Amino acid sequence: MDLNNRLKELNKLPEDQYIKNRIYERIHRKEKKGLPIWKEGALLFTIAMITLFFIMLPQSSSSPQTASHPIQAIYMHFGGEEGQFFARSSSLYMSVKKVQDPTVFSFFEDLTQYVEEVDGKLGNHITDVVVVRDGQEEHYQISDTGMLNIDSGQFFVGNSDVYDEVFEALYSVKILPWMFIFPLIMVPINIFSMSYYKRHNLQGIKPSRRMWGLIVLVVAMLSSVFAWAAWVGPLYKPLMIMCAFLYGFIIWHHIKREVQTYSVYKVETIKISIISATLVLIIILY
Amino acid sequence: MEFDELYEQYFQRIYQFIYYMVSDPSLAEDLTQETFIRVYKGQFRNEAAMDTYIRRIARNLVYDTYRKKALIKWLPFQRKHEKRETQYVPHDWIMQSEERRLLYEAIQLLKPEYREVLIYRKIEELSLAETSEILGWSTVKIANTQRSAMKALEKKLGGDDFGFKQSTEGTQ
Repeated sequence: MDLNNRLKELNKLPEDQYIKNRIYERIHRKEKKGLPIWKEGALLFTIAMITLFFIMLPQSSSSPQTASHPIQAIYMHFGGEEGQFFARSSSLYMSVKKVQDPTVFSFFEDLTQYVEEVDGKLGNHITDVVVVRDGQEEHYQISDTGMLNIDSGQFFVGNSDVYDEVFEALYSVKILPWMFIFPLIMVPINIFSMSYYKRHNLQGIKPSRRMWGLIVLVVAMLSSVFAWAAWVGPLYKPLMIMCAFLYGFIIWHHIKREVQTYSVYKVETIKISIISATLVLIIILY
Repeated sequence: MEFDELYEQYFQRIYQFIYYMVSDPSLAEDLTQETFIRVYKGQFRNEAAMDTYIRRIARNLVYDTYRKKALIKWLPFQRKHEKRETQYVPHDWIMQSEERRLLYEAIQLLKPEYREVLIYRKIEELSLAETSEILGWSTVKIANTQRSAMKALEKKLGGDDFGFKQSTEGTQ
């Protein structure tokens, strides 16, 4: 018998009725089985708890004290409001920057030379500052009209040009403006995927019921993030990076389960990888 | 088409394809089950293309299994069949004929692309157009792959170049 006929013979693999029935029964039994979305929620919760534990640990990012520099580090948070303090003693928090300017250091080393204590109110342009001196944190809010020591409640007004110089150094946006271009990356990615699907006559992912669950989860995560940033304090970068990875993982996991065409799986995986990487980059740079 | 009717119609060809691709009856059973679960949950209504649709799901699951074994073993939330190593267990029907067994084992020594083209084109005798639709390849590519697959298969069956005799003996 020639090879072609021998190959045709292999098409006669007998049907195994027992396996067929068993699979059929299992499919109908699985019909009501719950989705593994709770696992993703549990994972998210566990990661959040672990990160919270690390946040609670004292930060010791300051350099050792030397005789000539009693101030180990100064951190600033651009933009603030009276009654709220957002700066932290670590640049691991989003929008908290470490100050390197020597004028700012010499200013805080001996404040009394440059300011005098009076009664007053902060102006509209405020920057929160944390000064790490002798291992202790001091919290200030510096504004165009004066400076407030948050810990003692003393208000100071600058009586020298140095104060203006320091205020200008601290009240400046340290965020890279081109960073906001990153989210626009979504536009070419979506155009590319749409044209790819059109070219290959493929159908993209249709949101399923499970997808709606994921959307609710992501929206809840985002809302929590914004609420935290608005009312509690700056966001912790490692936690945010983990959230970005987790977001990517959850969406990718969903894609892996739902997509039935390998090409769509590949395109969607690339898409979600780029989105997650962009998110991580923005978090790191912000 | 109702699911039961569809299951009746497609079960054997899907199971057979997966079985020839993975060579493990238990894994083939799990992947067949997963294929039909996806069909069951899916919203596909174009019955004319149902055959291609189901075959694509099965094919993707098989490749997903290969890929997972190679790359992402460490990921959590894997299903039972995703964690398991493949075990070569020939079907009783295959073992009944020496000629059939040799041919089957030679096919198992081919790379997956060759294997699936042979399954579609030579075993199931699908047309070039049908195969092209399932694989998402051009007909030229399928024809070329088929030619290479046949050559490779003949080589495996023909001699010791690839150690076929030894490897098939080793599976006993």
